[in-house]
Amino acid sequence: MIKYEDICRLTLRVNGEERSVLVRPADTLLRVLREKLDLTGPRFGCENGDCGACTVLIDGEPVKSCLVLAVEAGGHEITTIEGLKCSPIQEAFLAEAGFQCGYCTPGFLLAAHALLQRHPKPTDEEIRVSLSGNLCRCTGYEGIERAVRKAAERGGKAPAGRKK
Amino acid sequence: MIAFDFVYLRPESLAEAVKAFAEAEQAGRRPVYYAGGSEIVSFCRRGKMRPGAVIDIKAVPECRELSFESGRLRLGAALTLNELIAADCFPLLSAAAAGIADHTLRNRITLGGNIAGLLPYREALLPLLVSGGTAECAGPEGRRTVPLTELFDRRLRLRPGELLTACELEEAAAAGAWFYRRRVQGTRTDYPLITACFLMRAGEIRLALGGALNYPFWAAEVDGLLNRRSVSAEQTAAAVLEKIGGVFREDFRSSADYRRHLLKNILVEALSELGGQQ
Repeated sequence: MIKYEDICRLTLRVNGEERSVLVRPADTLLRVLREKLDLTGPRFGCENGDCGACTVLIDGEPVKSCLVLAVEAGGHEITTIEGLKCSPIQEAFLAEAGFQCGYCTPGFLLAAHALLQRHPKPTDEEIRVSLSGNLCRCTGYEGIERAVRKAAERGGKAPAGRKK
Repeated sequence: MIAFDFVYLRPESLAEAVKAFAEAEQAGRRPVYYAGGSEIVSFCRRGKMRPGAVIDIKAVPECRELSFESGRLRLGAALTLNELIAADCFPLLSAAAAGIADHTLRNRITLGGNIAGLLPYREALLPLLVSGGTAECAGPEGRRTVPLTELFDRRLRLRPGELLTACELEEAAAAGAWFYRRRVQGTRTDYPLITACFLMRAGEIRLALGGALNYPFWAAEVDGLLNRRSVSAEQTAAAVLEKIGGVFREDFRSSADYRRHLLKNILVEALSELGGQQ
């Protein structure tokens, strides 16, 4: 049986790297990523699982890191926005103005990236369902959905003129 | 952040999980069983819950099973809603699961967490109530299998120290004709004003409701009313509403009257669609 108590050492695999960190069992993954590992891409929003600003991928699936205990994530592959590095979906967000203030953008990008990994040619309904966990208060979602469609159309290739 | 500490335990067998719970309780730690954690983590953050030990059941094999055996479908309590939707072995449950929360949260919310949780909606319970399924529980007194409709009285009546390990139902019930409606005030990810799950089982229509009352609703008397012959859908709807009475939920999302109105329309629609198959 695995047991974590008091302040304990935890190894997390984040963006392809092993990171060792001291945590409390009650620490959420969001807090540990931001405050202990300096990965500030996952954002504090509602901290209640509603807004999706804290979305990260665990083993390729999007989760809201404000509702995951860091100790649960040991042994899994965690991807934050820092791990995407100029992916086609990021390029498509730029091309289609899929963001304004940018606060929610890391969450949208990771949810969209996970969708395209699973369904390279998603339907409009699949796009809406997959992004249903993310709130944006600037764009009205149209640019975001357009960006996902564009990334899908390009089959994972970045637009011309931009270096990957 | 969660402003207090707890011990986190991840047992790898059912026996270990039950023992860990008993030991934590004996040590005065107010343990909770934990699977997806979305409800527990948010309740802890808001101070609505203060466990001293969290027992994560995701590594317990019985809680992760999804199988067909001897004509029965077995669904482990720690399967996520998205895993159930992807498997699609009980279409009414897939539909109800797809209505809960949002896609990202459904990667974490589990069957057991949803149906044994504290929120009033518990929509994944509705298809299981109408399916005639059973709940398998494990606790200090061993394992027991109980019809869900017996274990359920506004909430699952688990014994102290007991956890829900799996639900089972007949394959034939899982394949029955069904009707599902979920009505919300705003976006699709909102809590429901009403969720209605109808299932044809053994030639009869069964109904369970979420959101309409302060707890999931199923009643044998209502199922009886749904299956009277030579009664119009409108008359049946009126009789069902009278039987449920004045206990409809009233909150900032909707008045009780509006919920009653929604249910009436849903009943007429469902009976028109399923009635011919009785």
